[in-house]
Amino acid sequence: MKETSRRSLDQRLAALDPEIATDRDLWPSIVAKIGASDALEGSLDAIPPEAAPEFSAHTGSAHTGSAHTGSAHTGPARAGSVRRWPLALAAGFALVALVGALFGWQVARLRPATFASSPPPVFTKPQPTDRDPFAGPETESFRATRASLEQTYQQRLALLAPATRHRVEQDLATIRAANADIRKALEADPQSAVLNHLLASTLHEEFDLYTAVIRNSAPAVPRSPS
Amino acid sequence: MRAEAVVLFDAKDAMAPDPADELNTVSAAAGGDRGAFERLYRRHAGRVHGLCLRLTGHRETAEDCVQETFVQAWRGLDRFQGRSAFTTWLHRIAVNAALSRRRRLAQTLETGAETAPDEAERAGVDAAPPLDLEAAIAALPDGARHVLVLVGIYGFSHAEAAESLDIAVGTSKAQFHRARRLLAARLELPLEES
Repeated sequence: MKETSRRSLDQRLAALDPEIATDRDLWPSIVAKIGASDALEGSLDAIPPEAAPEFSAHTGSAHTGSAHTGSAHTGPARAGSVRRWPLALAAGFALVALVGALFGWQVARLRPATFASSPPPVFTKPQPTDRDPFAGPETESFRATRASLEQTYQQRLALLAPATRHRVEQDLATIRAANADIRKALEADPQSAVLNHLLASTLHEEFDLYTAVIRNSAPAVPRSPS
Repeated sequence: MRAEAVVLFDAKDAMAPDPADELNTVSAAAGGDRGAFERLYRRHAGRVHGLCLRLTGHRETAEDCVQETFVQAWRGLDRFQGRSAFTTWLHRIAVNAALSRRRRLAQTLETGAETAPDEAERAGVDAAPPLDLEAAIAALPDGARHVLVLVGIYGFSHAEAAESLDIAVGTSKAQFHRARRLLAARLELPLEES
């Protein structure tokens, strides 16, 4: 028996290299994501000081109650001195509702026809209706929540600096282009789990973008003295 | 827990960078120095990727996890207070990123991630030929694999693993024992009883 095969499991576990190199350098992608995040956060300098952000760009993570660090806007997330959570909370609830609806919609789309009591919920070619072709579940609550979120997003988008607004609009266009491409691919393979997953992902990305803009550009509610 | 302790120390000691240099680099990055943050990325990416890959079992998902981990770390650096090692903090972000992506993938594709390994466990592992260690780890049931990866390879304590995985410490220990038992049987290796 070879020496290696006599080693115990624990010895072999201990000998495993915890590092595994990536196939490609991920740093450029990380820089791009950080850059987009900072651009969005930097645009908030255009907003009056009392409306300074206390949410880190895109993540929406709150920093209520912590001291202001004063770090440059190109750096990591800052803490703010004002409270802006009501609107962010509302956006968060809307996002949860939309994601929940999306998940149900996606499950229905992927459910095998043999288990469906109603006609198979497969991909259907977009029809020329007055609906936005970048649609999701066909439920009234989904449409209403989405419309509300979009309306707030449009209002908050106007608060951003022009360059950032342009960048956000470009990102949204990219997401919608991806959605259109995936829909086209689904016409040839309606039951593809991967394509259906990607389709739902584009909707997730869209809603994430909306909520990031809303969270990071909402007017502040001054912190109460208490 | 003799064998476990050996694994723990090996994993932690093997990676410790110079603490002073690490602290300086983290401080610079927290001040917005992207060059410093890139140095942190270069220093830790392999380990974060190894963790993500072993937790998710999916190469593309693991790369997404690495990116998300470092983006989240950049955004949260001002909240890193140095109470734990930067590596520990980074690993916790990575574990959260990996598990959330793993859950999302499993839900979306309805893979029933626990099903296949459990079936293998029930059917008996003796029927199959021995695998290499990484493949055998990848084939473990999710719960057992997560604990084994965190505790056995990356040096988390059971308390840390339990907190990261949102399970009880006792569950972490039980899953670790289960993982070792399955691996030993699958690889036809002796198991040092703990």
